[in-house]
Amino acid sequence: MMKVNFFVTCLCDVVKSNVAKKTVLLLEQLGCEVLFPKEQGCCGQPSLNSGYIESSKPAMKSLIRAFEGNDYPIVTPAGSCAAAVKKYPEYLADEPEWAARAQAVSDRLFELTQFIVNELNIVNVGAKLPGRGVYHPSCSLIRKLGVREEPLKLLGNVEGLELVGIKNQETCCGFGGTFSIKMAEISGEMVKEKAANITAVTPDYLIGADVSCLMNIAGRLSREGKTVKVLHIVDVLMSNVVDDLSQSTITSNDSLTVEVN
Amino acid sequence: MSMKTSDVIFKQRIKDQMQDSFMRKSVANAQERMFTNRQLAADKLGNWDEWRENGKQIREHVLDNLDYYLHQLSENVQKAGGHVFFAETSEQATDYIENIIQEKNAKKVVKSKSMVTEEIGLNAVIQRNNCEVIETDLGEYILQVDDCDPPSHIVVPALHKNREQIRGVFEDKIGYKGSSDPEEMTRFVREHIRHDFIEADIGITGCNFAVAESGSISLVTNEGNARLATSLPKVHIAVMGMERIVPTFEELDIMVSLLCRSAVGLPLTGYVTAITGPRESNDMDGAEEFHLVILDNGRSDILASEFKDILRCIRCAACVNTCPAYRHIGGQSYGSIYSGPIGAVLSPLLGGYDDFQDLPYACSLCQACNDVCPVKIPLSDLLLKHREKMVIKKITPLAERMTVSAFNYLNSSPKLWNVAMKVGGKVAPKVIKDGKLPINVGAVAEWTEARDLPQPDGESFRSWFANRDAADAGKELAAVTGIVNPKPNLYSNTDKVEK
Amino acid sequence: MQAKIHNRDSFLGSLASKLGREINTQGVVRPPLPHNPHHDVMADFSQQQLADALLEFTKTNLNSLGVSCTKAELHETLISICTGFRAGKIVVSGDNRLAELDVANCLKLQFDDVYTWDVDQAHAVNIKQAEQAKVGIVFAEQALAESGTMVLHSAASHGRSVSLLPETSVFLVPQSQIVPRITQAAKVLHDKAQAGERLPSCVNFISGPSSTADIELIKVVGVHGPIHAAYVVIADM
Repeated sequence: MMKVNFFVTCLCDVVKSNVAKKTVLLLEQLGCEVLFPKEQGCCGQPSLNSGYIESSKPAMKSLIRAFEGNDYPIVTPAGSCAAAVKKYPEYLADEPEWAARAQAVSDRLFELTQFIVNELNIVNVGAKLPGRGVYHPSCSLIRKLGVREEPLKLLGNVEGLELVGIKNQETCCGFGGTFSIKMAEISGEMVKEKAANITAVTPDYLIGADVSCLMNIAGRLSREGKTVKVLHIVDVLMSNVVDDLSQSTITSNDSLTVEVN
Repeated sequence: MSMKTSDVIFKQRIKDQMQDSFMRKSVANAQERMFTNRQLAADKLGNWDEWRENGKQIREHVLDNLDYYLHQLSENVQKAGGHVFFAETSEQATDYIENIIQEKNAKKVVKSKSMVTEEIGLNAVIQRNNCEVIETDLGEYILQVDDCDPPSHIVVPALHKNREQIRGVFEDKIGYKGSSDPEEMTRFVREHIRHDFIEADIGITGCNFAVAESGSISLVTNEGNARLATSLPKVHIAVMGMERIVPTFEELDIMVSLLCRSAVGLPLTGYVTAITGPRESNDMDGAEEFHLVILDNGRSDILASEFKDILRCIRCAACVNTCPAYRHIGGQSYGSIYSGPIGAVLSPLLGGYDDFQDLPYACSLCQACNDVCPVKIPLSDLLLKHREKMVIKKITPLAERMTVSAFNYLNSSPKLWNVAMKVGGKVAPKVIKDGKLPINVGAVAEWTEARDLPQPDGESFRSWFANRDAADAGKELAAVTGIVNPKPNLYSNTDKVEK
Repeated sequence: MQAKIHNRDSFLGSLASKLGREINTQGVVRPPLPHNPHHDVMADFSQQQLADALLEFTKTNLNSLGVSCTKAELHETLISICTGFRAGKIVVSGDNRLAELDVANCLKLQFDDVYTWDVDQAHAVNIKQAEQAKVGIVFAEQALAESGTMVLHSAASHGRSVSLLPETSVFLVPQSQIVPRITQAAKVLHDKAQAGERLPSCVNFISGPSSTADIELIKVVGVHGPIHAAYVVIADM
């Protein structure tokens, strides 16, 4: 059995913890033993993306330390957090020893779909989800991590799921971390356009592989009273299990998803 | 006009601009068309990434050996009979050009589009000498006629105006009586300013790339105005940023191929013109006198800094045409003649943080610009560097600095973070109701302006995992059978029930 | 007036000092390009295929007239093109190659006012003639198949204004001088420069008539430069 470390990331830890929980269950279902190094903190994006590189260093080192307990791969369901950690070696370049340790951690770090498809060599997890879905390819996946095909391969094998394209599919949803607060006016217009492009094709689901983008788009869809269900890719990949256990959480009021009522 | 184009504060500017629904539609439409054209041209050429890599290497080599190539260029311009003036500051450049105007007693100057002459505020200097200056690029002409409205795009400067607005401007200012048909208006301008080219004493152009081996300057254009401005007046002055140079025509080939495709989606624009010195002794047309003004104006400081990569820029605007922030706020929001990602990086470097400190934040770090840049400038990373620089210079707001400090303190201590996450998991679902907090202030207020807050799932992951570890019986079974039945059950956690 | 270089030493000195080194004005060698995709474009095309590609691009992308004819058919072709553009006055470049093809003389049989760019006339006379002409006829050094481009080198007898001031430009180019792309045209200039020759004061790569998209991004053909362009490929030349 393959052992993997789980990097939960803070939004998945506190806000969308079901995404994290399902990720663990999915990895287990795919034959992994999941370890959770408890010393892990946040990747530091709010601080790093605001330019506070120097004062972020203790937290970066703390995160590196947290994952040095073993040499197993590290898996996370959040592309932007993975991308942030992969920049640590650059941020720590002035301290060669730490840069090397950061590189070692970074080399072991995989975004969830990347790990399933490229490391486990699995493209069909046996999931089933009838309906039409739009996949939002987050900037952090396609542009920062180079993860473009992996989620599509997995979704392509979900029974009953039809993926539909939207206008300007690869355009940023406007989240951008602190950007959504510091430049809320611009961010707001970006997410409005994204929501409009999604709803234009009247999908049943919006699917993504990064919680933060999903939170952003879901927040807008909710504001507009739209009924598109917003799912993390792990929700989709676990949807057969969900069926088995509780009929369907997708339609349940007590949904596991980043759902818009 | 100099580099700074507005005194209104940034947030007000974007608010004003976002009201302009024509501008926004126009920018969105333009972005999509230019993005598509660029992509098609790149695909048609094939091996686009190899081309980009070539472009990057050429530009890097030139920047690393800029003194060598500037020396060689100036030698060859002189050999061809042209004058070269090296200007460290924008004043030195404008003084030199002003001298020529006075010496020739020039009454009329025709200009073709040049960002660098806008950067140094050349038109005002020309005009104070009782000399008329006509911007002859159609887009620049529209803006000049409209009381010097600032440009909103580095390639299509009047992008923010619709045909009806342009017709109105032409009617008020130059006696145009026709319709708002673009072709009719364009022809009108052709007739209206043709005599200016013939009468002008001096033609002023920018320079897309100077070729060091021959002392040539190249101009990449479409309208024919740069050809007129360099062929008819007796004096031609070309102004170039000091980094706009290639070693030989072999590199010019690559750079022009990248520029034309990236800017307008064509293998070549209508005119690519290489001018070498003044006309030869028995030539019938072409300027009798040629001056090349090479401008530093802060560029050498950039070259020596961590922002060096930005000097690779060839002003194609591919980054502008793909930027989602630019899409919504338009070019004039940047308050600089340089807008979009390139403007957000360059303006603070050339004009300082006092005027342009907001621009590096007008970016979601989506990196779409990095992907389209024909010379692979990591624009998004450079914007982040600006943020870093402003943190170091303590330009960022005090409240932000304190919040980030607190966050970093918490995040560097695994124990504190652990508690924070567990408490957060418990508290969040209780306070967020229907996508809102009871009090919407600060960050929450900004967020909720356009969207609801997420509905938290309840118990933090780490609490769940810890409990599950403790009572871990089902895990092995799950692994073997593929049926997941974790304990405690995912679907019956207490927070959920409470909710 | 002696051409001068102003302020170079202090400028380069300050540049070098910011880079933390001495001024370097010697011995820099251009590194080879990492990739050579530009040499692969249309590399295996015959002259005929290049001509076809050029003419196809001219029609579809430049909305311009492109024809191929033999030397024997040239006069007839030119008369028909000029008639089509309702040429009143025509200006012909003083290029020897056009004289050898007897272009001006043949046109004079059909059109009343044909002026040949004349180095013995004053600057203003030539410009005025070109300004008044409806059609300007020039001979291209090369043509670029990939981009539908005509390459013009200025010289005393071939003024820049001939392809610039008249409403219509007619370009003649031998089929043997069509090359795949700007790469091959750049090489000609590079070789000249390396041999220490002074380049023509103006080299133009012209792709179709002048155009703009400055109003609502709508393409308008015909701004300050010519409004129409016609390419004549001379197949047996």
